[in-house]
Amino acid sequence: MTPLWLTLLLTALLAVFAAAQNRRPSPFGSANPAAEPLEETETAQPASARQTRVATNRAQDPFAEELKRAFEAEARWLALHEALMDDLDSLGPCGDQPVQRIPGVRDAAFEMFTQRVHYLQKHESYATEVLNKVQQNQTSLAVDRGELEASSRQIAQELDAARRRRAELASSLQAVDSSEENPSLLTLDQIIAKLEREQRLTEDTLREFDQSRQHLRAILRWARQRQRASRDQLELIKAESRLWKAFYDALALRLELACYQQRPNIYDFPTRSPRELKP
Amino acid sequence: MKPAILTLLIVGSSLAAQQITLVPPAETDIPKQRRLLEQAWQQWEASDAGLERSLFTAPADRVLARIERGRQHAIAYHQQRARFLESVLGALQRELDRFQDDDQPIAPAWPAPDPRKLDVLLEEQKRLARQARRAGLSLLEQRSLAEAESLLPQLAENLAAQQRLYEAFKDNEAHSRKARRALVESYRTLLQLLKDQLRLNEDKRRLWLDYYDYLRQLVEAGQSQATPAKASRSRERK
Repeated sequence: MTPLWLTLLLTALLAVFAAAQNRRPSPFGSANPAAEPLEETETAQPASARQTRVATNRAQDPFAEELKRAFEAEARWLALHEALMDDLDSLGPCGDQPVQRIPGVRDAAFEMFTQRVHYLQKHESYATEVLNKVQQNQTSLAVDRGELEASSRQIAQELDAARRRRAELASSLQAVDSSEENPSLLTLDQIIAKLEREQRLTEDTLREFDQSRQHLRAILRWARQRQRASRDQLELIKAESRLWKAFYDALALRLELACYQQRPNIYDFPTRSPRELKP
Repeated sequence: MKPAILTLLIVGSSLAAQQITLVPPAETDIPKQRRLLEQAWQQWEASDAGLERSLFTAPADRVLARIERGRQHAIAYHQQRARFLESVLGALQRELDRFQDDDQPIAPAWPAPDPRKLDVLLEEQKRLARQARRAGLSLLEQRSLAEAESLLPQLAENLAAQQRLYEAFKDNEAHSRKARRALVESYRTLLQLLKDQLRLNEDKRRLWLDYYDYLRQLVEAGQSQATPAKASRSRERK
C-alpha cells in the first residue's frame, strides 16, 4: 500500500517539476525553439513612441537630443551668468535686482548640471554594458591555444615519420638495385614538401592566434578604461556643480556684506543707561 | 519494481516533452576531435612501423596485407585531421561572427568642457582683483573675497581635468576601434590559414594513397620476378 502512495506522490511532484521546466528555457536549447513572445513594453507603448523607435537609424546618435538639451541649458546658464556679472558692477549691492537674480542663475546652473549628470550616467551605463559584453565574449572563447599547439606537434611528428620512411625506403630500394627515381620515393618527397609547408602554416596559425588574443586583451583594456573615464567624468561634473554652488553662495554673501557695509549706522547704543546720564 | 518502472517512464516522458537534448554544444568538440586525431595517428604509426624496411625481406602476402592496413589507417588519420581542423574552423568562424555581430549600441558623444567657462573664470578673477584693490574694505569683506578667489583655481583645475579626460577618451576610442578592426582581420587570417591546412591535408591524403599503391606495385613486381626465377631454377635442377 505504502509504495503505491509513494508512487502517486512522486508522480504529482514530477508533474509539477515538468510544468515548471516547461516555463524555463532548457540550458541545452531546444530542437524546435518556440517563437519568442513579444515584449509587453512594445505593445503597451503609445503609437508615437513606437514610431520613433522604428524610425531610429543605427547611424543616428540616440543621445543627440539629450545632449542638445544639455548644451542649450549650458548656454542659457552661461548667458544668465555673464549678464549678472556684467550688471553687478553697475548696480549697487543694496538694490533688489542682483540679490533676486542670483538664485535664478544658480537654478539655471543646477538645471544644466542635472541634465549633464543624467547624460553622463547614461554614458557610464553604456560603458559598463560594453565592458560586460567584451568580458562575456572573452569567457566564451572555444579555441584553446593548447589544441593548436597539439596540432602543430602532430604535423612535426608526421614530418619526422615521413622522413624516416623515406630513408628506410631508399635503403630498401638500394638493396634490390632499384633506381632512386622510383615513383614511391618521389611521392614521399612530395608528401614531405607538403608537410613542411603544413608545418609552416601551423606555426603561422599559432602566431596569428596569439595576435588575436592580444587584440582581445587590448579591447578589454580599452573597455575598462572607457568605464573608468566615464565614472571619473561623472565625479568631475558633480564636483564642478558643488564648486559653482559655493561660488553663488559666496557671491550672495558678499553682496549682502557689501550692502550691510554701505548702510548708515542706525543707532549707536550708549554704553550706559540714559537714566544714568540724566543730570 | 512496478513503481520504479512507472517513475522511469514519467521522468522519460517529461524529458521528451521538454525536448531536452543531452548533446553538448559544438565548442566542446575540439578536444575530443584532437584526442581522436592522436589515436588515429598512433594506430597508423603502429601499423606501419618498419614497413619500408621489410618491404622486400618479409613474405610478400604479409607485406601486402600491411600495406592495405596502412592505407586504411592513413585514410582514417587524414579524415580525422580534417574533422579536427573543421571543428577549429567552425569555432573560430562562430567567434568571428559574434565579434562582427557585436552590434554595440552607438556610444553617447563625450562633450568637451565649454571653453566659455574658462573665460567666465578669468573675468571673475579680474573682478575680484578690482574689488580687492578698493580701499576701506572690512575684514569680513576681505575674507569673503579671499574665499571667492580660492574657488576659482579649483574650478579651473576641474575644467582642465575634464579636458584631459576628454582627450584621453578620444584617444581610447580610436585605439579601441583599431583593436576591433585588427581582431576581425586576425580572425580572417586565422580562418584562411586553417582552410589552407585543410586543402593541404586533402592533398596529402591523395599522395599517401598513391604512395601505398606504388608500394603495392613494387611488392607485386618483386613477387612476379621471384616466381619465374624460382620456376627456372627448378627446371635447371631437373
